[in-house]
Amino acid sequence: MDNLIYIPELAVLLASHLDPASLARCVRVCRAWHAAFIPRLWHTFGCEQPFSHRFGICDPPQPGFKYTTFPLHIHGPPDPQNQSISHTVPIFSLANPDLYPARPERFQFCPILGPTPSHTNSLWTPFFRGLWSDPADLAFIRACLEKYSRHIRCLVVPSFQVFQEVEYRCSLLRALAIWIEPGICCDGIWGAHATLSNDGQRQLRRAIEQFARRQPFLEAISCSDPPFLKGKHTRFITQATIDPSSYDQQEQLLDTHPSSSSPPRPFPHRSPHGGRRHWKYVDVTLRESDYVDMLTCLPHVRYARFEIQSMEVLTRPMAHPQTHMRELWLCTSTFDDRCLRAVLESFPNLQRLYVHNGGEDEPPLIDLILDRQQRRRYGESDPGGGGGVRAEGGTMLIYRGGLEQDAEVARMIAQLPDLIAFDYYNMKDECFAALAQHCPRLRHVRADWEGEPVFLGEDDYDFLPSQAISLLLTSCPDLETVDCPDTPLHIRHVLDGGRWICHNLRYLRCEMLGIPWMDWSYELYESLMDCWSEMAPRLSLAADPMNALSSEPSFLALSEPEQEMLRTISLREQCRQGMEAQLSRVPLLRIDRRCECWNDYMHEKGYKNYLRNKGKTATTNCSQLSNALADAAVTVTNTNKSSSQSVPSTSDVGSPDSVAAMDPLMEQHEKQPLMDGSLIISGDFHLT
Amino acid sequence: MPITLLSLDDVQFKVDKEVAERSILIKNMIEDVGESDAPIPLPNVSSSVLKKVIEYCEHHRNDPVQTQDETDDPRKRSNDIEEWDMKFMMVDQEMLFEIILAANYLDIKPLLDVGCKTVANIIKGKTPEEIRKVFNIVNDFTPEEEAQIKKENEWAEDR
Repeated sequence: MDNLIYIPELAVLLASHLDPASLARCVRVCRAWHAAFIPRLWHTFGCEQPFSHRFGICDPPQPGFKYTTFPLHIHGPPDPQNQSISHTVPIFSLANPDLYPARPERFQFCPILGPTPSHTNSLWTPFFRGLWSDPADLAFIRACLEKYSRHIRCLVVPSFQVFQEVEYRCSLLRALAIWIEPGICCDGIWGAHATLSNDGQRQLRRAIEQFARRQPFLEAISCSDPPFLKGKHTRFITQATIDPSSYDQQEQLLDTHPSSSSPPRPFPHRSPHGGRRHWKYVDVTLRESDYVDMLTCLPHVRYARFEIQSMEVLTRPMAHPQTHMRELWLCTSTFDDRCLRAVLESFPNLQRLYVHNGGEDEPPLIDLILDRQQRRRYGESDPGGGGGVRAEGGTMLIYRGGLEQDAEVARMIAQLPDLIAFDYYNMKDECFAALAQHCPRLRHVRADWEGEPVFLGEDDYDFLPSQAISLLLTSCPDLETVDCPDTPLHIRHVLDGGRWICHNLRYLRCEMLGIPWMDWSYELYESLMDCWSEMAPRLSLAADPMNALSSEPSFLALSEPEQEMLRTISLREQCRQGMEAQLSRVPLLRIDRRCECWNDYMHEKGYKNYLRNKGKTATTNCSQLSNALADAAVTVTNTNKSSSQSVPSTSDVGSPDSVAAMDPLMEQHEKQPLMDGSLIISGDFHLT
Repeated sequence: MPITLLSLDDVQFKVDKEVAERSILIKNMIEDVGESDAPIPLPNVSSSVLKKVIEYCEHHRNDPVQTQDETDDPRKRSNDIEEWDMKFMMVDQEMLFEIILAANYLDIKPLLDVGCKTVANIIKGKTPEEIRKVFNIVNDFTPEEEAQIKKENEWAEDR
């Protein structure tokens, strides 16, 4: 029989076949049986249990007080002289709790707050099982803890046997949390905190952990809010996975819901003892406003799934973070940055947050995957990390849905300083700016810009996303992919924006703007090239054609269109060199075929002459580029246009395809302005 | 195709695949390893116990396979035991516990349930002292402790 009892799984199974009366006798058999069956016995506390059973009323009652005997169990120290497993200590609650906080001296009535019993000077284990939720009781407990914190080395909080009274647990655990973690203060009620030495805190945590191992703790919780009840009732039905004995209730409830044709799939979880999977439920009825309290106060819940009307409840300050929560699925139509902040602060170890508005075939509002591996890596490299929001690293997928306010999205981004991937559609300026400002660890960005250029003056526009992308490229060292096909990147920002530090960049796709438009005909261009050849000796002194234009008197002989042409070519060359300088810092890139045509052309027809005419200085400057172009040309020859997006080559700059205007093979594009160029630079493209 | 099972004491049992697969452990093993003639070693089960377990599985070979949900559903988990099962479980205590442990090891949920129910039925209605006697357990509580525990849990007993 001993074997059976010592295998927790079997003890639990055996206990499930026993009624409370039998269990109560079993716990008296011996220590091993006591240990095995006590959790189950207390677990059977249900809503059908009359109060008088749970809280015996002490005699004689003090005026204005009623004593209850069960709530607080003080386990005495292992004193050989006075050995006991537990003391049942009377605890009282005031008939009128409102009077209570003002009369702290009333604590004196309670025996536990009298002189410390001599045998309990070294180890106390307060054992909380069920408590009143009034502030009075909690104040009492707090006072106990404060008064005796010097003596308390270990405190055990059992699992939540009575979910029906979840309010108690929430408040109690808040109180405990405050006590455990000095400095956390809630609602102003708990202004002063009990203090516990570091050692005591460690022991406390260890004790809770150990208890958790023995107890089939709640690990998952989900809640459904039947639509027909919405707005009319404030009570909801929640399922959590702990108590097999209430599974039938749960099922019945689900059966009666018109909306629950398919009951939600329970979260599977491993049995705490390994072995087969257990799917367990408990029914909890609670008000919507309790959700968050519940989530943050059930320390072992790992998965939660809720349907919630209003996320207001999520935005309240939390008493303490719930560190075990791994997945949170919310079905709600509104979710904003405040909610996000609250969730991330409340559940610092969250690995996935999924928010859906409930519509069929609709993408999620938010699908946030927080990567623990990354968290660890960042944690190591950044000892000073942390801060208010502790979500570190992860993928964020936000789809336009219930998030109507762009500012909201931007603020949400600001809540995620360690974001590593971002995916969003119809992105507005604010979001880009927020991304660039707040997410220095970004690796992958995929977004479509939906915004208007800022009008600066005649024919001059500014593009906020362009600044932001430039900022990303210059401030995010980990950046690997930027896939923003319709998003402008102005050459001005590339040239003025500082050095790109994204040494891992493998894919860059955006719309290249601002490169000077050469609006001359092909013939004129050809003749100019010839003209240049003749001018070559006069140009040889000028490394920079712009300088040549201003300083070489002989240039003044050029006609105005010729000067303009030269100026444009010079500007283009500056842009090109600037781009090339930036891109040379990026190891593995490839270019789009459209750009390739232009590059080939410029290389063969235009720049070759230009470079030749400029002499050795210029050739040296551009030799690297020429080589790169040659390499790229080889690479691209083997690919057609569609596949070109996946073939990596060494290095190049994609540039506007308005060059087509000069390319006899692409004359159909003749009128396409340079401003519509697109830049796609990529290596291996992975967006996690 | 028959499956060969090898008990702790190296006794081989040939059983139908269908019968052997009442055990989720063996079922998974077969799925993982694929069918083969090699005997499946069950190092935790002695031949006498394995014989009983096979007897149970043979009798219940045509039972519908319980899903996890059903087995976790206490509504279906009455303490009634089928007549055949009751007779099957009429063994000495040592064997009963061995069967339960084997059922747990082999992952035969219905047998495990029947075993636990049988033990539960033995416990029910007995005083702690009687329970100790039946299972030959030494009371290691001090009188004070026992009184304390009795008081603490009275609420359950007098229901």
